[in-house]
Amino acid sequence: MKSLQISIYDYEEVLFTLAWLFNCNAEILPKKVVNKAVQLGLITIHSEKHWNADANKISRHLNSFKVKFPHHSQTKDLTNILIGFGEFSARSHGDFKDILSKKFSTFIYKGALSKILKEVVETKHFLKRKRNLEETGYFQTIAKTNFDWKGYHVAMNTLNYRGMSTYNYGLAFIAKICLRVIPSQFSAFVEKHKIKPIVGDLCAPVIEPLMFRDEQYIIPLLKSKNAYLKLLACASVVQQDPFENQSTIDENIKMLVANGVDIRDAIWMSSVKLRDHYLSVERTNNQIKQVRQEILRCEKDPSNCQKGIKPAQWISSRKDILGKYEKSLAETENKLKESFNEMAFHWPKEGLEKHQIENIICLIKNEKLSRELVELIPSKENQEQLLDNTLTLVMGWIGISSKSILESCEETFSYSSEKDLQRIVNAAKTLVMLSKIKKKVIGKFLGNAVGASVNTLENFVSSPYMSVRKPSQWQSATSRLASIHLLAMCVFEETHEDKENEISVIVPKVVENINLLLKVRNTPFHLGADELFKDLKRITAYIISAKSFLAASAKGIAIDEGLPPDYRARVIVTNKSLLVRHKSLLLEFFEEFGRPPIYVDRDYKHFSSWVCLLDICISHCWKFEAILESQEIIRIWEQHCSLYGNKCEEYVEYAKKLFMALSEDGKEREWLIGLDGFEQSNCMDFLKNTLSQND
Amino acid sequence: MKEQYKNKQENNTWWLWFAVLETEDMDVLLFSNLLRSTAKYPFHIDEDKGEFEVSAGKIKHCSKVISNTHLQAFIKEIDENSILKFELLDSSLNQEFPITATREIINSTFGKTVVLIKTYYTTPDIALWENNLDDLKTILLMLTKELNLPFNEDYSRKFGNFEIHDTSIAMDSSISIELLNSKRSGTGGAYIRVGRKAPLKDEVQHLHVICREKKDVIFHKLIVLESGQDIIELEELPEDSYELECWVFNNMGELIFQDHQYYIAKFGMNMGVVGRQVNLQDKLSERAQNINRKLGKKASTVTRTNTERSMIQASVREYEQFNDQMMQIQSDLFTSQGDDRWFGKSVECEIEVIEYFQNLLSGGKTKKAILVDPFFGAEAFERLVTRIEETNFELVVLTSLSDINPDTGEKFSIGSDPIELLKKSINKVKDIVNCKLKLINVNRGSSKQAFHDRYLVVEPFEGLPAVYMLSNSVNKMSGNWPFCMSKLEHAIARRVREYIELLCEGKDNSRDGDPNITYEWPENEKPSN
Repeated sequence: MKSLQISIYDYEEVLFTLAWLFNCNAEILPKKVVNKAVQLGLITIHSEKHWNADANKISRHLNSFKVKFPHHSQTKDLTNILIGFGEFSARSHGDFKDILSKKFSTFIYKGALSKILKEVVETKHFLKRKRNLEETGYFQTIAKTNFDWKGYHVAMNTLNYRGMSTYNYGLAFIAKICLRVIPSQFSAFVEKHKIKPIVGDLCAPVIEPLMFRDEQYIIPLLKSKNAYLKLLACASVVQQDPFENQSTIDENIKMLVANGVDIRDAIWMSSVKLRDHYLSVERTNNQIKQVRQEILRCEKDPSNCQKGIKPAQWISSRKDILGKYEKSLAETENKLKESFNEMAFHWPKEGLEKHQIENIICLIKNEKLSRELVELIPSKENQEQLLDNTLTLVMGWIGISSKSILESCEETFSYSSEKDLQRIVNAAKTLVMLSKIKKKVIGKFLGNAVGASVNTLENFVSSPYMSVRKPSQWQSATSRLASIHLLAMCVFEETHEDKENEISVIVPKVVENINLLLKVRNTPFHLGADELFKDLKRITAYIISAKSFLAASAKGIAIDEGLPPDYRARVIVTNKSLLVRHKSLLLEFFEEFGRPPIYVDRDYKHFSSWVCLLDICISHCWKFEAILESQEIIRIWEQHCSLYGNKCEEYVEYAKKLFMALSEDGKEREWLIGLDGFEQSNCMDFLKNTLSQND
Repeated sequence: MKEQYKNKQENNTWWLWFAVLETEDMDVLLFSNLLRSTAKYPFHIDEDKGEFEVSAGKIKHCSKVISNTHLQAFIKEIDENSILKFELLDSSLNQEFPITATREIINSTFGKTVVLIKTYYTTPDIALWENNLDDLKTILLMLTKELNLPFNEDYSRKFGNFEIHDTSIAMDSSISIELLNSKRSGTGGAYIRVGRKAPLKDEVQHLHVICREKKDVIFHKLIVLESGQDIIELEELPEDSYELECWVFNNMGELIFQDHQYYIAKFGMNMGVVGRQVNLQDKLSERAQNINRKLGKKASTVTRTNTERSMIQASVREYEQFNDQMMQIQSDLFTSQGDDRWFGKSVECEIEVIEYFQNLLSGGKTKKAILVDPFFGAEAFERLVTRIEETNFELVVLTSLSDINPDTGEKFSIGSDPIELLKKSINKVKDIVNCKLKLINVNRGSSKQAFHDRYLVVEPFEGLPAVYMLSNSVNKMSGNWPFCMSKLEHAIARRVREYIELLCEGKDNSRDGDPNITYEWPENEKPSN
C-alpha cells in the first residue's frame, strides 16, 4: 500500500515518531498522539489520510535536549523514526536529511543504519506491497542492467524521461540517508538484492537528486558496485547539466576519473556529449537553411509571409532570427571542435577495449561522427574498429551482410538523395581511410568488399522479365546494386590523384556494370528510386569526364542505344571531342529527355531533372565554346518548357539567362548569383572560376 | 499457330520458361511460357533455375533463350502432330507432351494489361496429387513466385499449360488515364486526364470509362480520343469518385489498354506510445523457455503500449453515413444465404437443427458425412440417424465415449455405460436406419477421451468436402444450450479433415501417441491395444 493511502491513526511509524518527539509513553493511544501533535502544531490534519507537517516545529523538537535519540541497538525504533521523518519530509517543506545524517554519522550508528537496511528488506508490508506494472518493470530493469551502452542508455532515459516514484516516503528517506552515510554498504546491498522487487523502492529515490546533478549523491554512487546506480551517476555527470551543454567533456571526464571511474569508461560515456554537440551543429545548420528559404520565398512572393504581419516586418523578423542562428552556429561549432579535441586529449594512447568502442558506436549512432572522430584519436586499433563498424553499417543497409544479398532484396530499399548520398560519401571516405590503415590497394579492397554481391545482383536483375516476375525484389535489387555502384563511384572520387593507379583497373569495369544496370532499368515504365539513379548517372558521368583513362568508355556510352538519354547527354557534353562528334545526338537526347512524362504527378520531378541537365549542358557548351549547340539547347528548352503548363512558365527563359550569365557581366549574372538552388550548380562553378581567374 | 506470331519472329529471340515434374514413370509439364525478348541487354539465365523434391518426384524449372529457327520447328510440330516437343526449342529439354486442347485468350500478364495468349493444355492428371495436396500447393506457390501469375488463385486453371504471351498489342507505356482533383476550387468533382505519347497520340482511340462512388455509377461514357493531342482533359465528374475502370480500343476496335483503379478514400492511423517492458515469469514462459530461448523471450516479454486511433478521410457527405448504416443492417438482416447457422434454445429450434442436418445430408448431393462428437450418445443416435431419409449415403459417426462420465469424472454405474446404451439403441433401430451407417468409438488408453471438438464433414458427389464446426454436442442439440455451426475455410477444412480421417483409423496427427478404436459398428467390438 502506498503511504498516502494509510490513515495517520494506523501509521505505526508516524505515531511512534510523533510520540518520541514529544517524549510520550509508547503505549499511548493513536488518537491522543495525533491530538497532541496537532496541539503542538507539529502536524495539521485535513483528513485521516491527508495531513501536513510543520518542518520548523518538528526541527525544534528534534533539537530539543528532552528528545533522546534511541540507543544504536534499538534498530526497530530507529527505523520507525526514519520512516516517520520520511513522511514529515514529504508532507512539509522541510528537509530532515541533514539533521538525521548527522545523527547516524557516528561509527556505531552507521552500523545500526546498515542493520536497519537489512531489516527493512524483511519488513512484511514492504515485501508484500502490491507493485504496479511500472514498478515491476523498473525493478526488473535494475536487475538486468549491465555496465555497457544499453545500461547507460537506460540510465540516460531514466534521468531524462522516467522519473520514478513509489510513494513510499519512509523507505525513500532511509535510502537517501544510507546513500549519504553508508554509500558503499548501500550499493553493495542493492547489488546483493538486485533481483528483489524492494530494490526498486530503494533505487527510485536516487533518481530525483541525480536529475538535478546533486553531487552529494553522485560522488558516492560513482564508486558503486551496482552497475545501474553507477551508470545513473555517470549519466548525471555527463548529461544532466543544469543549463544545456554547460559542462565540458574535459570537466566531466576529470570528475568521473577523480571519483574512481576508469578513464576508458569515462571516454565512451562522454561520447554522448560529443554526439549532442554534433547534432546541435546539424540542427542549427538546418534551422539556418530553413529560415533562409523562408526569407527567399517571402521576398519572391509576399503572400508567403505570415498572415497579419506586414511583409517587410515579417522578413525583418526572420532576418533577426537568422542572425541569432548564425551566431549560435558559430558557438556550437566551436563547442564541437573543443569537444573533439578534449576527447582526443583524454583518449588513452593504448586505446580502448573492443567492447568500449562498441559502446561508443552504439551510443553515438552516427557514421559521419565516427569517421571524424577517427581522424583525431591516437590508437590505430580503435581507428580500425570504428571505421570497420561504419563500413559494416552501410554495407548492412545496402544488404551486404552475412545473409545472401538476394535475401535482403526481399525487403524494400529506400534512398533519399538529401540524406543517403551523404551516407554513401561518408562510407566512401571511410573505405579509403580503412584501405590506408590496412595497407590495402583501394580497388582490390573495394572489389573484395562488394564484388560477390554485385555479381549476384547483376545476374538476378538481368534475368529474363524479372522486373515483372518478381517486381518488388527486382526493384530492391536494382536499387541496392545502384547504391553499391554509387559507393564505388564515390570511392573513386575520394581517391587522391597519387593513388589513381590503385583504381585504374577497376573503374572501367564498374562503369561497364553501371551501363548494364542502366540498360536493365531503362524501361518505359516508371520504376521509382529516381533520386538514386539520378545521383548515380550524375556522379558516373562526372567520373567519366574526370578520368582520362575512361575515354573509351565514354565513346561507347555515346553510341549505346540501350542507355538512358540524360546519361548519354551528360557523357557527351562533358567531353569535348564527343561533343564535336555527336552534337546532333546531344540535342536529340536533350529534347527526348525534355518531353514531359505521361503521368501528371511525375511532371515536377522530371522537370527538375531536366533543369539539372540544362545546367550541365549550358555550362559545358559554354566551356567548350559550342555556341551553336547552346543556341539549339536554348531553342529546345523554350519550346518544351511550355509543354509542362503554366506551372513552369517562369523557367522558360532560364536557358537563355544561364548562357548570358556565363557569357557577360550583366543583370543575368547577378540573377544567377542570387538564384536559389543554383549554389552548387555547374553554371555557378564555372562562373566562380571565371570570376576568380579575372581577379 | 496464328499468322501474327510467325510474322513477328523475324530477328527476334524469345524467352522460354519451363517447369516439369520428373517422376519414375513419366514427366509432367507443370507450366511453360514463351515471350519475345525486347531487352537491349543479354539475358542472364544461368541462375534463373531451380529444383526441389516432392513426394511424387523432382521438380525442375529453368529459363532458356530461344532462337527463331528453333521456334519455327517447334510450332511446326505443334501444327502437324499436336505435340509440345521441347527438344526442338532447346536440346537440353528432352520432354514432350501431347496437347489436349488449344485456346486463344486475352489477359493481363507480365506487366502488360492486354496480352494475347495462345494456350496449349496438357491437362495433367490431378490424381497424382490426390494424397499429396501439400505438394501441389508447393508447386502452385512456386509458379506464382517465379512468374507472378496468380497460380494460387485463378491462374491455377492454367496448370500444366504451355503458353505464348504476345505483349505487342499492349500500349501501357504510351498512355496514362488518371483521375485528378478538380482544377476549380470548391466544385468537389474530379476530372479524368488522358496522357498519350507516340505512337498513340498520332492515332484515334476509343476510351470506355466508368467511374463509381459508393457502388453507384456516376460516370459511364465512350469517348473518342482524337489524334494529335498528348493531353486530353475530360469533363468534370458530378462528384468525387474512388473507383475508375477503363478500356482503350484502337481504330480497329482492338483492346490495347485496360485499367481498374481504386483510390484511397480514408485510412486509419494508430499511434502507440510504448511504455516500460516487463518480463512475466509464469508457467507458459517457463514452458516456452524450456523449448528455446527465443520462444521463451516471446512468451515472457510484455511491453506496455497505449494506442491512440485516428481516422483520416475525405469530406463525408450526409448520405454516406446512412449508406454505410444500411449496408451494415442489410448484411445483418440477410446473412442466412451463407453456411453459418445459429439456433436458439427451444424444442422448435432443436427440430430446426435436425431439419437443417437432413437438408445438408440428403437430397442426392452428399456422398458421405462424418459426424465427429465425443459425446454422441444413444439418444442423439435415435433422434438424428433415424431421421435421415437418404439411402445412397454413408454416415460415419466418430465418438469418444467411455465408462467415465465426462461431466462428473466418475465411472458410470452399471446399466448407464454410454457405449452399452448406444449398442442397445443401434440394435433397436438398425432396421429403420436408411443410410449406410458406421460408428467408431476411440479412446486414449482404455477409457480416456481421445478428442474434444465437434465437427461435421460433408463430402458431396461433386466439389470439395465441407467441414462445419459445431458449438455443442449433438445430444439435445438446441435443447440445453443454443446451437451454432460454422463452415470452415477450405484450406483449414482440409487440415481438419486430415485429422478426422486419421482419428477414424485410430491415429492422431496432433500429438504424440495414437488413440485406440474401442468400439466399431457394424463390426464387432475391438479389443484395446
